[in-house]
Amino acid sequence: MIVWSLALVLTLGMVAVVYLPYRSAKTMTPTVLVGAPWDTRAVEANVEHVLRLWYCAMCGGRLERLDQKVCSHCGTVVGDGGGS
Amino acid sequence: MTMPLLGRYALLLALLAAVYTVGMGWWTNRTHNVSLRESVRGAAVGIAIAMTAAVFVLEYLLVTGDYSVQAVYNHTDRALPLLYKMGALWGGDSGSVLFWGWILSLYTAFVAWRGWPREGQMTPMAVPLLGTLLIFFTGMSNLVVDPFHLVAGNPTNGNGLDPLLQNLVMTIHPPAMYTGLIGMAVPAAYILSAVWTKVPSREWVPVVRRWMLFAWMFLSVAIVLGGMWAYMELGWGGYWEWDPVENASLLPWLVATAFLHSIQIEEKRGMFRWWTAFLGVGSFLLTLVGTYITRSGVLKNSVHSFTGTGVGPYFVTLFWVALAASAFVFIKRRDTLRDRMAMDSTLSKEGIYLLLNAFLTAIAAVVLFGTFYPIISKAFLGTSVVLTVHFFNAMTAPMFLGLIVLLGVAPVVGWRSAKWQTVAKRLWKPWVIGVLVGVFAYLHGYHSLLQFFGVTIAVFSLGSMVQEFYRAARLKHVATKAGWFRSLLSAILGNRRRYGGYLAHIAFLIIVLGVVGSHTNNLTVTRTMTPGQTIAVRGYRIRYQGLRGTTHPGYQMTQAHFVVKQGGTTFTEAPGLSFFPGSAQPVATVAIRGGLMKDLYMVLEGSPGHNQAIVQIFVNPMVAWIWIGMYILAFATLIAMGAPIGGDSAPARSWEFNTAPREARRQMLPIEGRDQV
Repeated sequence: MIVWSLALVLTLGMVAVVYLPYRSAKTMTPTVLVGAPWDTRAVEANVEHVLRLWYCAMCGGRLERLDQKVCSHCGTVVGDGGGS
Repeated sequence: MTMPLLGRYALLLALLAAVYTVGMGWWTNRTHNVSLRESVRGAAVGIAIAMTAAVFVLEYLLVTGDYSVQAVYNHTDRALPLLYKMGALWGGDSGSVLFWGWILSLYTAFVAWRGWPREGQMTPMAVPLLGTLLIFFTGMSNLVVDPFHLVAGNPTNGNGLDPLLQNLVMTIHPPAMYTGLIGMAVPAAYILSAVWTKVPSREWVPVVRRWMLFAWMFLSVAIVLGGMWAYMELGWGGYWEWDPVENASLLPWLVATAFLHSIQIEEKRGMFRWWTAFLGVGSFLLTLVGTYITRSGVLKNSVHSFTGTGVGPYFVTLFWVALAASAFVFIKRRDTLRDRMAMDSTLSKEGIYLLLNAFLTAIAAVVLFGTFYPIISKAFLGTSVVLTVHFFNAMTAPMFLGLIVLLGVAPVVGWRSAKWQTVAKRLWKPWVIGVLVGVFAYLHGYHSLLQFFGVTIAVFSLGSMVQEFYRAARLKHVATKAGWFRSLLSAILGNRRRYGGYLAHIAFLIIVLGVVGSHTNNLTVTRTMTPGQTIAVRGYRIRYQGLRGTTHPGYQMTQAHFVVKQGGTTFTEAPGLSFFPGSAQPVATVAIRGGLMKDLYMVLEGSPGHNQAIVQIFVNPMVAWIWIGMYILAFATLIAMGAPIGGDSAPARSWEFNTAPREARRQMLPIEGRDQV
């Protein structure tokens, strides 16, 4: 009897774990079904990181300003492949 | 319904769930049906539930002693202690295939449930890939090596567990080994998925690195534990013999180590993309090769002989299918694997890592060739030739020495290019220390080239690593005026990846010194001793007292009792021979008095009668360094894995956003022409 009960519990558990996510996804609104909104915070932080840590590809020196045209360490022109 | 039948039912459910995961997983990848995709995630978790149920049922049968089940009958008996009854789960092919499948299902469930929201682009493909492997394992358990297969008759007792396996270390070693080996399937699945779906490196590198680090840690510990077991149980005074089964675990470890280094170059410089992908998937393919070596019985020259139940051909087939699928993905998506940057200079961190990759891959190739040589020689020469430890030592030792040099040099070599004068300036102190210690070692018996250079180079690299910690701590100490210990801690916690890695290198070097030391100045003597007789062996005065027999549950033991004096310390040792019913040969119980600088290792060989004992006495230097290194390695890996997610990735580089070929072209030009592009 116990073994049969365990088998039943296992079967129900397996069915539940497959069906319930399907069911809960199906009842979501169309907006949510399209996909969760992007977490732009990570993207923004990454861009921020890029902007703050802009290195010269030639010498590896850090560039100080976004509008910097020439690397202050080696004189390479930034933007003509001079950014890293 | 009986418990074995419940177990079989659980395995069937696991197989069905795996088929659903794979079939529906591929379907939802094509149709992007979100609700069906969620059901695939659930099914992946369901496989783990069903496999866990099957494992629990088998454990129940083992613990309660249901000898009508073959796995229980073959590997346990009434007298077996509880711990070993539970450990018998992985005692034979059927149990170990089930155990492998269970661990893989747990990994897959974690990937599906936790990984999916974070790595949404790759996971919908990675989970069905892992599910395909699970179809293999659950299929094997259902159809080929059924762990719930019944024996004829109604036996009331079993055959017992191999006495050599009745050891605590051997109870921990297989689970650690399986966790490490099958864990490499996860990064391989992620790499294939990332390459196929063209996911940027920034997204898959941190994920794959962590998974590989986790698996690598367990594999490293398992390999050393295997050596520890051999040292404690086999009674020959050694811990590594280049046995095929030992090599089977070393092969994926070597390639995974190369991967963990190569992936840093991919992350920071967009280079070595082929290397990284190849090494990541290759480490998993080598686990399949290793399983074939271990389980097929094809190589007869192994002391770790597993009686095969015919699973070898299935693992070989799986290997070829996985290799073909991986090759297809890599060839079809070869554009994504093109390097984004070119190497600026050979004397650079990139150059060092390239050499590292080459050395590790070469060592793996030599070990693979040497392991399979009996089969190769049989095929081509008509006779099976087994290569001895001398071949493996001679071929791999110089390459390992080269690796250790690179390990010491790499931290002080800059990215893109470095000047040798700068490198020399930063490394002269470790070199001086290394040479001094090497000379000291030479004067104390380390006369061979390998011993002398082994110590010199290992100490040099150790000095280089310690120097890095010192530099970091000093910077913090000067900047914050905090104490040295606090500064060191702060430096480590500030960059757990780097300093966890450096600590792991230190652990590896400690193991290397232990290996070199344990092969130098060791002593073996064999004596026949009468009661009351005393012998002096390298600082130990060993007095034999006599033989005593004892009865234990399931076996009889005869022990030779000794009183040992070392300096002012007195202790007793009792090596013995255990006689198990049904086993033709007694099993030696080795007496080991471990110490930091040397072990006293005693083995009772037998008795010619009259209460005499034939005893083999070893004095093995520095073996403890190997075990200590293992503990530090595990701790260091945990530190490295503890780096915060996202906080440990490299800052974004322009090559990730700009057109990559332009940069690569610019790098190819002579220096004068670069500004023109």
